Amino acid sequence: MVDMATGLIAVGAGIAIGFAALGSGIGQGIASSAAAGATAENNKLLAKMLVFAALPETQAIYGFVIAILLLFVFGQ
Amino acid sequence: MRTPLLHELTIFGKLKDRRKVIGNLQKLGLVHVAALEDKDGFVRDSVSNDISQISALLLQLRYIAEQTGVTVSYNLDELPLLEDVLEESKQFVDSYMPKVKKLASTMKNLQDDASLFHAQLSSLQSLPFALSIPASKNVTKLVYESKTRFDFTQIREKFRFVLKRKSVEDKHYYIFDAPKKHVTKLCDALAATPLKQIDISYVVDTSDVTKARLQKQIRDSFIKITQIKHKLSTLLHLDSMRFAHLVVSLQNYHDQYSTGAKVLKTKNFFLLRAYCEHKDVKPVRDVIGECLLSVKKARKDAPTKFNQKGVAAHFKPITELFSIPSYRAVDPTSIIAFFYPFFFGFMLSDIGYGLLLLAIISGLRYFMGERMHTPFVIFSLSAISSVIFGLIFGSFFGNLIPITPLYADSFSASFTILKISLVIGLVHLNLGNFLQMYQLTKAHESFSTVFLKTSPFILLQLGAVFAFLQVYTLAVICGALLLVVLLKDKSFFGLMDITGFFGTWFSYARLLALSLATAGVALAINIIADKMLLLGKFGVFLWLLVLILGHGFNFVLNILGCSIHAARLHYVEFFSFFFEGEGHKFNAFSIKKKYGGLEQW
Repeated sequence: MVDMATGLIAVGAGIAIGFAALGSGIGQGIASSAAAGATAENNKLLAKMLVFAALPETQAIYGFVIAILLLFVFGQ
Repeated sequence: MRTPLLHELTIFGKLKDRRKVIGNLQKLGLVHVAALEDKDGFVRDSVSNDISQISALLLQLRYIAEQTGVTVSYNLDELPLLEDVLEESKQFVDSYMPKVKKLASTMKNLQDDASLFHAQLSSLQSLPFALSIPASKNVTKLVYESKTRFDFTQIREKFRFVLKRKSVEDKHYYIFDAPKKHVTKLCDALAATPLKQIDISYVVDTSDVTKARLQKQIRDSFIKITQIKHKLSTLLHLDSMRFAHLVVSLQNYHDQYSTGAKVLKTKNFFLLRAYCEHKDVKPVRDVIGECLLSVKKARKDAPTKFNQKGVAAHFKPITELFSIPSYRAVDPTSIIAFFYPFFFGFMLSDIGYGLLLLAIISGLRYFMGERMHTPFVIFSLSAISSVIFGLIFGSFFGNLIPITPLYADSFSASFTILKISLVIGLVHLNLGNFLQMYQLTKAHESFSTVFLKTSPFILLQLGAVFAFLQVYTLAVICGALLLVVLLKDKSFFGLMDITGFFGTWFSYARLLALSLATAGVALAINIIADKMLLLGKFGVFLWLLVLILGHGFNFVLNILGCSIHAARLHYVEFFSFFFEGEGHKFNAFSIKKKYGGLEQW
């Protein structure tokens, strides 16, 4: 039987990464569609546009770090 | 660490010597020729007359290359005389152009005919009934189709025709036998209706015979087209080397004459500007003959030359993809040559995927030749790094082949590996900060500027370390100094840099994140595959299928992800400290020994 604290920590970790990834995904969708448009007009911008498209992933990383901290610091 | 120091050369000489000087500089291959700003008393050298003949011949040779499919790749040892090249090119064009044009024209006609026959056959095959030929030569047959029944009462009042109706499934077909003299007006009247005409102008016999005839005509056309293509592809068989030699030589002369556009001239003299390294000044002086040479240190608008050698030189495209460093700015290519494969390997961290990547890139290098050499170097080093980290974390296609990790499994020790990722990030960022300090010092910036720009990151780390060690006095001093420095440099907005530093640092947590993502998806694929084995003998086939498709998908996804994120960590986090990317590339004006393909013309 899992105790309440452990369960809540697991839920918290899931919420942390879930919402962070949700926001990151929405941001990446917007950035990627703009990047695709820019690249269609000028092929030489591909590399820079890939970087712009990958920039919003930072927020998902922050959520991931919080989830790891919750699981491995507070979870233990 | 900085891009090499260049000298700006100004060459001043007699106008009659300018072609010889430009030709000698091209043979030397050490200088970057730059356009001069307009000067009083000087005009731009005109090249249109000299270059037009070369351009015209190149266009004709390009046409021959496009039609015959010959590749232009030739190792030029020495540039022949222009007169000889022009003479030989004209002879070549006169000899081959008529044959190529004739064959190309015949092939185009055959292709047009084949398309027409194909369209006619499609039309005939779409008719769900047989057509009979008109009984009289003065009668024309017309066929129209419609999705609904149509009332021809109004049209019958104006025109005479025999009409038959056929309904097949949901379509209605109307077959007119109309006098030839009324056909045009009848067609105009029917065009105003919703009816759609089917072209049967080629029908001379019953439908089945016509279909067979059309099919034969299409087959014959394609056979002839194939024969002509073969003739074209073998036309230059014996002369392909001579052709490539002529094209490469002409292209070099085209470059030479185009460079003349950067020259300023008066009635008797010319002026040319170029850049080269200090060691190349003497060879330039030796080839310009009696011309005067002025040498001075290049200004900030000089081109940027990369001087990496060996393995590091292959990572130049990664720097260039972002931007060319400014002249005399820090060139991070050598650092990228270490950290890019390191980050890539850390994020992929799987022996199986690493070996697969190595096999694929080696195969591409073998089959596609020299142009794949740079990607081969980059990805083979990344693959080896991935194998090493796979051994450290004990991952071979996830847990498909159990391997004892040299350090720890990435799932069980994820928090420790997160700390290691952040430490690696700290090292990388401090290196960036150090490069910023180096760059500012070499640019002779004042001590206060160097301190204001580079100390915040150091003070932040020192403050954190002292706080961790519970030496609170020093921690407070570092914190106060940090605030003063940030406020002095950027006023109130400088305080945002504190959170910015943490954000930049935590970004390196993606090293663990992608490593876990690769391992996690691989684990999930293996679990799903194992479930297939419960289905008996057929399950073994499914198990294999799931493994191949699943790991293939995971491989492709993570290769893309690791490539982008390894580059992104450099472009966004590392470069933010020091990189100045407003440079333009040093293009050595030289004899190009090889032109790979038509796209380079």
